[in-house]
Amino acid sequence: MRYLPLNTANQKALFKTIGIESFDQLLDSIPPAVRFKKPLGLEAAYSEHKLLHHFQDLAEKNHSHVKLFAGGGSYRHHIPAIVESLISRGEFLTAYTPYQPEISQGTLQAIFEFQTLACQLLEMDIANASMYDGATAFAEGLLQATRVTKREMIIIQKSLHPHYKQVLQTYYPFDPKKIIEIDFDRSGTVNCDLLHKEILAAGDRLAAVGVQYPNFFGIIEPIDKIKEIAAAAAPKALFVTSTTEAIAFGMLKPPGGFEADIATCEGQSFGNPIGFGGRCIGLYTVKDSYIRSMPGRVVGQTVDKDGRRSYTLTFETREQHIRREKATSNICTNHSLLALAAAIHMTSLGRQGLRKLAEMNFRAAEYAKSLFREKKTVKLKFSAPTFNEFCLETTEDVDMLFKRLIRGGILPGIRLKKFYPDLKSSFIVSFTELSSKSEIDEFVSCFQ
Amino acid sequence: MSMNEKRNGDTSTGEASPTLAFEEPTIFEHSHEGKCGYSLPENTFGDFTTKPAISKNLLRHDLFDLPEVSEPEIVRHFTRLSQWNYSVDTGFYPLGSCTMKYNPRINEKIATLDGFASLHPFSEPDDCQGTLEVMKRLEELLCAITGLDHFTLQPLAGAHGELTGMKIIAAYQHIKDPKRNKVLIPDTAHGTNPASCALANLEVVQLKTTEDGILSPAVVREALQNGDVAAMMITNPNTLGLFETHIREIADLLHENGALLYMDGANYNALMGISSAALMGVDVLHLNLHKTFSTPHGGGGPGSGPVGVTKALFEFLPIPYVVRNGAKLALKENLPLSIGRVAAFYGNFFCHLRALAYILTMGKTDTRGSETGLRTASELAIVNANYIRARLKGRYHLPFDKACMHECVFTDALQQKYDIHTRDIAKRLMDYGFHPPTIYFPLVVEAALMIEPTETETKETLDAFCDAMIAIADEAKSNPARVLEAPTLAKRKRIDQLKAVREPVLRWRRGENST
Repeated sequence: MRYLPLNTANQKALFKTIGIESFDQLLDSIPPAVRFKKPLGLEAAYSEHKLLHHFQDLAEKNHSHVKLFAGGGSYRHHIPAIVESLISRGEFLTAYTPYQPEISQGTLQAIFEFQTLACQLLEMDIANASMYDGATAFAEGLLQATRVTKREMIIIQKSLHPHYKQVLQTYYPFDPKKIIEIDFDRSGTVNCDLLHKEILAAGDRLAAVGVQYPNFFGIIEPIDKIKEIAAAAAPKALFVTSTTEAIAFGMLKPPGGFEADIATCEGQSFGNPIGFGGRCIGLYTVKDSYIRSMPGRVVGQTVDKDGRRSYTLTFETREQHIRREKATSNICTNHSLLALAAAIHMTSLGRQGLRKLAEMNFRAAEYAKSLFREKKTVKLKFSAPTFNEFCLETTEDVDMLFKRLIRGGILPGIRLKKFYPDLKSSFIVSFTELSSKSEIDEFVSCFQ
Repeated sequence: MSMNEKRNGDTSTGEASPTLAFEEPTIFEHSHEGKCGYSLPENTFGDFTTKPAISKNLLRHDLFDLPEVSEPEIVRHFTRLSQWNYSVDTGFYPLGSCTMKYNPRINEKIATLDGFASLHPFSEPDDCQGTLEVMKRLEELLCAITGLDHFTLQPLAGAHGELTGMKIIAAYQHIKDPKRNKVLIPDTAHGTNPASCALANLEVVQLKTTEDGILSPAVVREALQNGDVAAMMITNPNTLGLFETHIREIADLLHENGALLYMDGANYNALMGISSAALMGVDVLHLNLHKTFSTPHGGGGPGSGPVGVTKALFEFLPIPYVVRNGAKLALKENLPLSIGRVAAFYGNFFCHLRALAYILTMGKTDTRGSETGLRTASELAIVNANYIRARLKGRYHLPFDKACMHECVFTDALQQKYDIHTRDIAKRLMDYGFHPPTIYFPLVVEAALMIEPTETETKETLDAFCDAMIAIADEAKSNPARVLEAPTLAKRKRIDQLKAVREPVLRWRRGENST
């Protein structure tokens, strides 16, 4: 076996030093009743050649080469070639959590830079070293708010990404009735009157107002107004935000601009392919004052014995390996390598690139909108402004429509009926810098 | 051959040598106005323009802070940073309970195949058959390896698996016997165990291990008396590297009482083909694909923490789950008792892919003597750990002097009289070119050095490491100052952790990061 370097002579030598004649002598502590009696029922080992072909075949069984207009928390963007090339370096790829800072400065400085970039993107004070994904980051953000305020109630939008809502429900340790959902109005934005009423009703039991923007329908919530209402009606509740499309902040004012206490974001759009949702990464940022109740690892700058600038994991007394059941979270492994990918992509884009990229995404969606406005069998469901995805309503049977387009090699978006029975004829479409004019033209021409 | 031996002999007792290394400023300090490292795709929209109907209050005016750097600078910057890291690819990394084994390169190639990378999570199941096959096949193989009936691949790390598992147990007990809200955890447990229980709203009761380093059924029996125990959470082999000999008896006690057994499978690298969770009587188990199944640790993730359960707990698994209907695979959500979703999508799929590739490459486990197989990997992991145990015994204090499984635990008890402590030994190991073991864990042993060599290391490497450990033991006597000064050959000397907390600098800001 090519991964196992000990040959028979080596094994004999090791046995001799250990003082055994057979391997079984090392298993005395395992009672016969809990030992496997027969071999595992696996296949014979694959050669490297066979393995590669096997997986190439499986990859080809996916119909992934479609014209893609689905987003919903997973966006197809161009990833610069340097990202994969740099994160594939064995020194990054095969290191562990940097517990020994003297020999882990590479990972530590990279995370420190990632934390800085996350803060710059969201205009927040402090970021952690990353969370698993946008959904768990938002859930942990709301849990942090319950710890900070020592209150349990939270208010969210009905237009929160439904998977994020489900993750929150799984994570939320209190009575699920204490999660209040605010409906959207006809423009697609959160109903501010209802929001105001519910905040007042919750009173001093309210831990947080949690808002996703753009929301699941792609709509840019009037976050300024929402924050104003929350601040006036519930000054002690925390303002927590979530975003599924990080690129939006090349154009939109970020949560820090609205005095968010905790801002979370899915960072997949930076540096990570969609891959069936398998390369997500959560950005988690807070105001300075919330560092001690923040979940997750954090890297800080310090010096070594010679006074040279150095980095280390810090504020570890919050964490599970020290605080055990009293820790701020159970998170241990985060998504370091994917954070590195995000940091490299963000750095490549930089100040100018990110703005232009955001504008390209916006323009593609607006172009599609302008064409859809001319159609009879489909219309824009909501009127409020959007970033790079929006909601359409069709007069056709939505399942038939999807079948028809998928057959033609187009994934038209995400159907809403499973999540919102009231919106059973609606679906969300998404556009990025990779949606070309001709692709969009072809897509829209499928509608009458 | 003789030259090789000589060379190995030379390096085994020598110190690492410094290499060319550049001080590297942060990427922000490389930034200069007007640079960009990105090429935007072509504009295909001609002169189509649109005025955003977005309120001015909601628009961003400048991304002033973000760096402006060209591509060559970015590549050099991150390449230099990489060179400041220790990794499995560059050296021996015997970090206990972390299973730092070789990460096969072919699996990296497979993880970049476009057919997997460009599949959207909202694609129709018919269009995802390749990906679903990978997931289902991995689930089936994990079932074969552990003996459990079902797996979910959704948890995104080991601790996330623990949370998922404890939520499943909480949901099960909520229906069976809602007063059961306590979880028994031995004092050898990983820190994540109690933290995961707390997050699942369960109360932790710590159990003491006996003098031989394992748990006795009597202690468990006593803890079960009040009928308020939901489950026990056990790591096997435990963090002392010892197999919990009484595990089956403990499982039976728990089951008779109405409680369940959760096993933290972080140390499963000792067990493949040798024992199984099902044989031990385990109800819920999490595995770490980034430990046992060779997916790279990536500097701290992404990991993957699949959770396996017995038939009785199937209905509580997260949704969605993959089902095989003849030749077709589908995603189902029809589990009314499910704990819900634990992640936005389907888990860290690229870890699933790599783990499946690893299992297929290792292949079937014959009876002993076969050249391939997961069992051989586990056997050699155990042999290597015992070899280190045998070689260092007498030079370092061995609190539990018996055969270990895949890792062995020493302490600094023999070095303390020279005022040399575990931390000093760890730092001095860096000068010999090795990553230190896990230190000061498990907590049941004072000042532990927890060594896990894994099966992918050569005898020469193990010898070099043991020689270095022995040299340090000698230095503790003859030249303690040398040990206390360490590391001197690492990229940094000892790092001031206290300053990091007292004067927190958690990000770069213009003009604020000089030292």
